[in-house]
Amino acid sequence: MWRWWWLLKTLLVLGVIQFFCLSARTQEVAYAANMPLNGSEVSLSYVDKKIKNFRSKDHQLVGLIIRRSIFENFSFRNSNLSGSKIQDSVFNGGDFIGVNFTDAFIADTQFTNCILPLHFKSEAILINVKIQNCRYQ
Amino acid sequence: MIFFNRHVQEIFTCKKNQIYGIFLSFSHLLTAYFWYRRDFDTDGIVCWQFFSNCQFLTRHLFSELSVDLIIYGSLSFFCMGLFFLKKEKPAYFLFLALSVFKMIVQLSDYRFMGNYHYMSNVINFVFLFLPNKKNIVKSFLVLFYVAAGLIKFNLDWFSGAALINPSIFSGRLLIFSCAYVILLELVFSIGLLSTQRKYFYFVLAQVCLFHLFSWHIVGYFYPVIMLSLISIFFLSPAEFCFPKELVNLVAIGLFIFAQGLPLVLDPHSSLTNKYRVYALNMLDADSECETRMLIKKKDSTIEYRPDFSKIAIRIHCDSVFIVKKVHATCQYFSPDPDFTDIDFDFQVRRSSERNDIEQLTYKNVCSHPLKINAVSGAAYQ
Repeated sequence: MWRWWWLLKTLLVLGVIQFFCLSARTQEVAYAANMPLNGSEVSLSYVDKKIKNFRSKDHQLVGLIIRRSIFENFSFRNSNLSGSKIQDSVFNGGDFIGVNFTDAFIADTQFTNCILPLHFKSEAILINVKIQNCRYQ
Repeated sequence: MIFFNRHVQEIFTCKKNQIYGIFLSFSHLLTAYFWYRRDFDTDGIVCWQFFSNCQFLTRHLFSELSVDLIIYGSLSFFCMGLFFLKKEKPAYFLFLALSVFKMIVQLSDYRFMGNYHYMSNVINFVFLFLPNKKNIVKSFLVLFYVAAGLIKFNLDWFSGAALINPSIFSGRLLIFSCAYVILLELVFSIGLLSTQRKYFYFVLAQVCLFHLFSWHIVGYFYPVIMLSLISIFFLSPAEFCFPKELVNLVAIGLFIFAQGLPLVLDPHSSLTNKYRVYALNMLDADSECETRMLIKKKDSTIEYRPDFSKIAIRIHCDSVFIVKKVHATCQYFSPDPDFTDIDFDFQVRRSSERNDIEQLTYKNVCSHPLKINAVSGAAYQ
């Protein structure tokens, strides 16, 4: 009887130690995955990213792909986003002044507190796009 | 009142039931914390198929959800105290109110679905309303394991592909572990009902280790809820007598019927979700679904493939999400004078299989809207 008790206790202690090790490791991985990026480097593909302070001025971003990403405090001023594909993303606080959105495909995306180009709605193909507190310039 | 008095008496004349009440109240406290920490998008409310007018409920719940959850959590803690202090009726009725609240929150939005809530709700109401509590709770817990083992019999589970986060095991060790889980749930779990202490503790230790190990894959909530539910085995070890009361047999029969329905009527229910809404819903399929809408305008057609990968893997191909998206898209385009209608294709498959399990095509879904069958959960036009 006592042998079984000891076995059970040992297994439980091992389980608790294992839990703490795994928990710490999982948190490390999760932290690395969700860390916001500083947008100093401009790329043509952003998937599952959180980006703060993104700056892209006069960049050719034709065919840019943005999926499931969040941009906060951004500027795409005078960049060319024609033919880009933006889906399931959020843009909060920033400007798209002078951006070319010709044939850009934008779906399930939210724009808040931002400045959009005047012809945004006629240039881009918009599906389930929400625009809140944004002005056109 | 006699009915309630009988149950209050059964709980508080047995110390083990009384302590189990503390553990179940703790599961409410944990649920409040779990929901409080989650960031629910209030715009993305998805109604259950059998409760399509959930908005009237969610409008009230979600407007002050964080306050509701703080009250729910505080009362859960208070309820633990009432069970501890043996305040019989207040403890029982507060626990009843908490269980009803949890059920209402869950029914208000399909995104609250999840085995941990399903199992917890079943045990809460079994504990409250069924006689011979220790034995019937134990029976249901073992039935949970057996039912969970049954739906895992597929390549996605055996290969580990269905896991929502990567395991620390890989290769053959992962395959062996996944296979072992099925053995544990289908066969060994019955040992939890054994009256032979050696065998009982041997199984209980494995079940506990299994839940602790699953922590790094499914997060903290699932294992802690399960450990709270199975605490009855620690409180009343190696004691079991099959609950033969008619009402208990009916409850067990209903549970088995609910689990058997999807297995019998749709062998691919883990992908299609047909008949599964009343049953356990495990990480039993690494489903991939492709949805395509052809948005037809007077002079052009736009192809749109919505992305459901943000939604939990066990439900992201479910009809309720797809139909909601179709309705939202129809609504979005309805003010456009050039817009005519939408054609819609849907395919779903296991990641381990190349063939599509289900391929559906619907024409003109805005003028002939899609609906969901309340019983089967299937979309139809």
